[in-house]
Amino acid sequence: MAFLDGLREFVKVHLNINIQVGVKTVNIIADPRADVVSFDETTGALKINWEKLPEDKIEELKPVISDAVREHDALLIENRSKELLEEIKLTESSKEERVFLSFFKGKIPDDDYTALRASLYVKRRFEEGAQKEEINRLKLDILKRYSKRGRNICDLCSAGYFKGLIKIYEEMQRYPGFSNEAFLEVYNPIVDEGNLTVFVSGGRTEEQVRREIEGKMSRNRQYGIHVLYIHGIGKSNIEKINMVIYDLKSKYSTLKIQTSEYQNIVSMKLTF
Amino acid sequence: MSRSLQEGIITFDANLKSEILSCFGKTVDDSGYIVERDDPSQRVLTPNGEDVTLDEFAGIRKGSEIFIKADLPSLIELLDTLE
Repeated sequence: MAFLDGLREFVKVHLNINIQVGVKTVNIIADPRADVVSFDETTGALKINWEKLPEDKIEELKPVISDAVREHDALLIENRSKELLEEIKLTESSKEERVFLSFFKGKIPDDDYTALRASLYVKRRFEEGAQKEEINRLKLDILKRYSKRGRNICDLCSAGYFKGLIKIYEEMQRYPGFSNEAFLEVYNPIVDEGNLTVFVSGGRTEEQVRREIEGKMSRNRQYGIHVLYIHGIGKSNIEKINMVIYDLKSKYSTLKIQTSEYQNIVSMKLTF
Repeated sequence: MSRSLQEGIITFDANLKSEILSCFGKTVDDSGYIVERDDPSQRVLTPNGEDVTLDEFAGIRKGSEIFIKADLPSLIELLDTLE
């Protein structure tokens, strides 16, 4: 790479250190204990210690760095961000994540897709036992960029709801006349509702469904929210939801239910 | 990914952000935003049109001068450009 030649030349001319070949990475450091220049022949890592450079050498180095970016397409990046880049790449390189992400690519809006990728990384860090502060910081990154919808995607992803969305898509796809727009009509309210949603898919018992719906109704009410959305997929899950709703109607006299069905998918809005 | 995360990359320590910016004729204003040294009223922008504070600054890539923020979505977008 041409910019490496420039840096090698800088080191040779200004610091009188001759590195013949093999520079692969360049790290600009600030370390009062390190040498002005070090080169690891095994890894090809060249380190230039800004703190030890005399002022006139710094002025010589500056255009070499800016030329590397402007003229030679180098990426200039702070160390911690590079580590994060590598971690994101690692997260997305597992077969499971690749299959999961490729399913949603092009099916959901681009911003949602990036928010989903970010959410997957947050989920991975949570599962690895990252500190609460780190998780909160990462979630805040998503919230700042994508507002409430991004936060909802993060919550839904953590709760495994996006796997349920794959099932919804596959179920809808079985019917003639299916289009991605039809899927988005189901998908959009779910990501807009976020935490106010109960998603029923897979082999859950009626009791589990009941507990989740009642638990979320109770939680919502505590915070002055008098609405809950339920989405269910598959005949048996729809039956379970209907049984739970039937019981809830006798328990909560003010409960109002709006239902819409799309083939084998039901969406309900409970107002209480 | 055609470009690995080893090749064509210069990394730098977080405490050298201001010095690195000085290589590009940038400085930081009183509010902590990165600005043009020759015109401090002009804040630099990311491709999304966002101002960048020194804390948020992660790096620069080619394409005039593309400023990169250190937040998760920005780094995911950067990863796509390296593909």
